[in-house]
Amino acid sequence: MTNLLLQDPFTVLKEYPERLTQTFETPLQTCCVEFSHGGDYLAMGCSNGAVILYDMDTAKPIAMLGNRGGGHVRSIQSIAWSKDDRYILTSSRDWYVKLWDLQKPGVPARQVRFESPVWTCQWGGPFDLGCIATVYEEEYAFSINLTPETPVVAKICDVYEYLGEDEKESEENEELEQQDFGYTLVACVHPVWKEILITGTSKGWFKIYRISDQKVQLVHSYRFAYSNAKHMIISQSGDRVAINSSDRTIRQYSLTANFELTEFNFALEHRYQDVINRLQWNSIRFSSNSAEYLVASAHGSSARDLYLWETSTGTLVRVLEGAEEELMDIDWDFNHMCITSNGLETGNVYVWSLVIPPKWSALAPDFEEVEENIEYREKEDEFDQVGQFEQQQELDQAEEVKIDLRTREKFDVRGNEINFNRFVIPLDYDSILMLKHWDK
Amino acid sequence: MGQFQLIATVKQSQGSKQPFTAAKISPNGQKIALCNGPDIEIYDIHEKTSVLLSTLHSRPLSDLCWSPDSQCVATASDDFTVIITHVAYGELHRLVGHTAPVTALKFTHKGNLLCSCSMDESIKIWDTLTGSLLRTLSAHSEPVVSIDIPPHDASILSSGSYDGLIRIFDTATGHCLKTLTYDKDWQSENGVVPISQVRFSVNGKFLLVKSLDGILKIWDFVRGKVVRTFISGESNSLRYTCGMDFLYPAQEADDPIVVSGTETGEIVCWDSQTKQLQHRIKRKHCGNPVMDISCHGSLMCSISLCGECNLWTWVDSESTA
Repeated sequence: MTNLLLQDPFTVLKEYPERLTQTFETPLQTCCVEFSHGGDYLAMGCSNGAVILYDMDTAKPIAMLGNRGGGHVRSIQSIAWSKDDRYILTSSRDWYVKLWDLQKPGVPARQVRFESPVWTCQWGGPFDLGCIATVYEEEYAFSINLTPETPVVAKICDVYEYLGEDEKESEENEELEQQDFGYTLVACVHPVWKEILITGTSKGWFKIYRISDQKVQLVHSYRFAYSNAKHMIISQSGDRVAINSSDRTIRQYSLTANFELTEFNFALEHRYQDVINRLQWNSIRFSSNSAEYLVASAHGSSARDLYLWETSTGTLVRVLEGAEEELMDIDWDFNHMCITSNGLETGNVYVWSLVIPPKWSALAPDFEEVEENIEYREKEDEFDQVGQFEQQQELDQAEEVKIDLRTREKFDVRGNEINFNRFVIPLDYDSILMLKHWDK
Repeated sequence: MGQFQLIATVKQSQGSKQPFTAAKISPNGQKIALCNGPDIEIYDIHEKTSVLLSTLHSRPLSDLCWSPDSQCVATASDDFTVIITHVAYGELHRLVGHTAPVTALKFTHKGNLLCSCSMDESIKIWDTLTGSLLRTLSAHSEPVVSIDIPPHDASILSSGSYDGLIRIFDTATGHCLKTLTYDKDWQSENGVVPISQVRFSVNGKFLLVKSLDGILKIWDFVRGKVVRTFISGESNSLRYTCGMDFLYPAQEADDPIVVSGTETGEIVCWDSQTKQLQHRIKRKHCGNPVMDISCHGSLMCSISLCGECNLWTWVDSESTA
């Protein structure tokens, strides 16, 4: 990302994209989008169950999950990339959660079948290679251990929630049982406190679980609304949570906890509503780190834009225009500072990014770009004769500073980690050859 | 202090039939690809055998580049085209677009883009999956003879040209981001000094540049400052683009080595930190320009114009003592 160091710093450090720059006209109807963590690839989940990976450098498809068999057969609900971008988790309305190893994207590496459509699937949980899934009309979320060849699925629920009536003793637990939370629809593993899972239910509850070895504990519950949760997001720093519910409101909370992670507190910061049209929100997404911005897509054929708010004040700061249709899923690539969203009608995928103007002065060294004419004034030392000896001495001095040719930069100028090698999808030489012979 | 030890002779001198211009160690360190007329010769370092991979080029090659997965070799030819050849499957793509001999090539670390530069003064970026041209960067006014991309960062690309300029481009947009000129007053007494090779350090923060006056410089290209200068003591108007590379000794604490070939057949090595001369190899490549130097780990491969190709390994003086 060295290019950022050489571009106009004022443009580079803008915190959100500005203009529609790219439209992918995919042959299939895209219904969910997800950038890889490095921003090199964009995964598009389609309504027929296909998942296509696009290379963002060339804007061309580079791989298709399950093109050698074993792909999904119904609409994709969610896509999640692993931290190193090597594995992908997909969940679908065909009742399956599938794990893909991009070393061999043609066939799924693992798959789990549930008893109904799967809403979401996310990395995390108590296992090294594990995930958390939420399933249609299920009271609890599921944790899946993907390490064994046949993945092991377990319900995530507190013992007290699960026990029969007569086994209950303390009053506190009785209270717990009486409370009907409804079905679990969304679940997010906390990005900082890895053992904390926050779920959102169909009756408008947040439930916070602590998952330790062999034990699941419901540590906190909080009612945010009287309608069902649609999406939940947690900021990278972990102290901000937003929930989109079907009562046409996005609620943004600041989440705090005590040191032992036994007590939690949700404090409502803002509610985002469309007061005029009373639109529902389709999808929401935070910006990086401490989530200074929140972006959302609106439901309904009259809405064609993405709305971007500043989270500290709750004010609308930008409307991302350009798409000609209602927008559905959203993802934000922090490395390249672009936001993508898919259209409902055409299934096209739109990308908004920063437009960095060319710096013409870079072509001619010692030239400077000025906004307007400046009257020339000779600088005090401009034509001073510097002795050759002194000049040489200065150059020699510059060459004594220690240089480090090996150590890579840890963070880019935007604060994203760039210190490790992300997985590169291998080129599929077979298909190149196949296409070549096709042409002939 | 350390020095190079010869471990294998890859190829003997072929007389003066045709020029040999490039030899590169593969990214997995198992093979060496060298230009042999219009064909590619692949040498297996462990087996010590070589095979000839013929291409459809009609004129000799001037440069080649391994793909990062070590499965393909891209070749730049005087017939204005670039061919990507898979070592097992054969030709994948023929990239047509340059209007003059192609001089140098470089894959990005992801292998999805291939950059080529040419005597037609332009740089072209190709999509390796489809073989289509993505963009053309034309900002030089003389042949572009060398390009490089940092090992883990495909966002920038640097080029060196006979117009004496080193430019840094944004690969995504094609905009020129920075121009490094030769010293403060780039017009030296006898006109500009043509740049012959550019090479990024492994962390992508510094750029090693060689020019046809036999001087090597390490630039801190973000700040636009020269931080090291190495003088090989040759004549100051050379004819050949002699090779050079960084060598990173296995010990993290050891400073990287700058290895450079000369027109008189010597290989000179400096410590990149102290600028101290470490080793000067005179007994091989006698009198023949060393056209390419390629390093991988502690291995170094050198090839001279007559086709003599040697494989060396870097040995610390302490371990030999």
